[in-house]
Amino acid sequence: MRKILLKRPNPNNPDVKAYLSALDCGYKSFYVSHSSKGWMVKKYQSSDGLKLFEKKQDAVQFGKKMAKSKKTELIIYKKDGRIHERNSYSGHFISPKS
Amino acid sequence: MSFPIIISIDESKKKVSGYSPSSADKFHSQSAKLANKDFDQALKESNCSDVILMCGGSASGKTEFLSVYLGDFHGIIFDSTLPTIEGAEIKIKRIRKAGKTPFIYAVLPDDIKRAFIAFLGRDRKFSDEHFYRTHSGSRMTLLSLVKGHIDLEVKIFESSYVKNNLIYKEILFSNRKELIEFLENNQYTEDQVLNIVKTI
Repeated sequence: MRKILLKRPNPNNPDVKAYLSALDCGYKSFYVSHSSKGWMVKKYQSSDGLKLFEKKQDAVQFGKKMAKSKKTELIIYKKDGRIHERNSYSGHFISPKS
Repeated sequence: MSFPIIISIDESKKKVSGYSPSSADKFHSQSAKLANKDFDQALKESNCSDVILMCGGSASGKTEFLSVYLGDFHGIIFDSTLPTIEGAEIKIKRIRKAGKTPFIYAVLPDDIKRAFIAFLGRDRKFSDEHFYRTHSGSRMTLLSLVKGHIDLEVKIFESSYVKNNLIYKEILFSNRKELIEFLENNQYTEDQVLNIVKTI
């Protein structure tokens, strides 16, 4: 098996641009998730904004505050790792609850 | 008739009355039916001989791939995840019945977590179940098609996010057996996909 690199996409291609923008949005969003230490508020695969709470509602409140201040999204997980709720504070649209 | 003729379930959503990206999930079934209808019409009416079925989980980079590399393709492209074996088999049957040749172009992300981040960040919002289902289902479909159709041409592309850009590699195999082994080693159940992406 071998891999051949294809010609690099033009980053100004509208579809590529939209994808990169979606990635950017996803990385900038805040996530409330459960861990063995409690409920975490952080960004995906980053320690940026990491804060631990004993109660989920406190984590959600803090997460909402962070997402609103940065005009981004808040994604709230259930204990089983599935998404419970998503809310956008970016001003583009408001997502319904999952 | 200008080529390529691209039929996309996501684009079909925009034709549905009341559609909004924030509730894309609700319109998926209806738009899938519309896209299938458009696909059948294109098979009937176009004079091209080749048809590409895109395959790969949500936010793998399929639409972006076809936008960059398939702009000159003289044929029909069905842009969907190809999440079920049954659905894929029906399409292949219809393509052949129309006297055309099917091709499968699969886009697999090198990092499922990255695809999940893009999925979450998109304007059109689906439940996370949609992500697990399509990433699991499309791989299962791909393996089934490769095993069940010896003469079906299948191309596998890997998408990566490198230095703030989306890049693609074509994965080439020495023979069909090697391709099958690769696909067998890259199968995930929905729970396995969930377990990969749930770690924040």
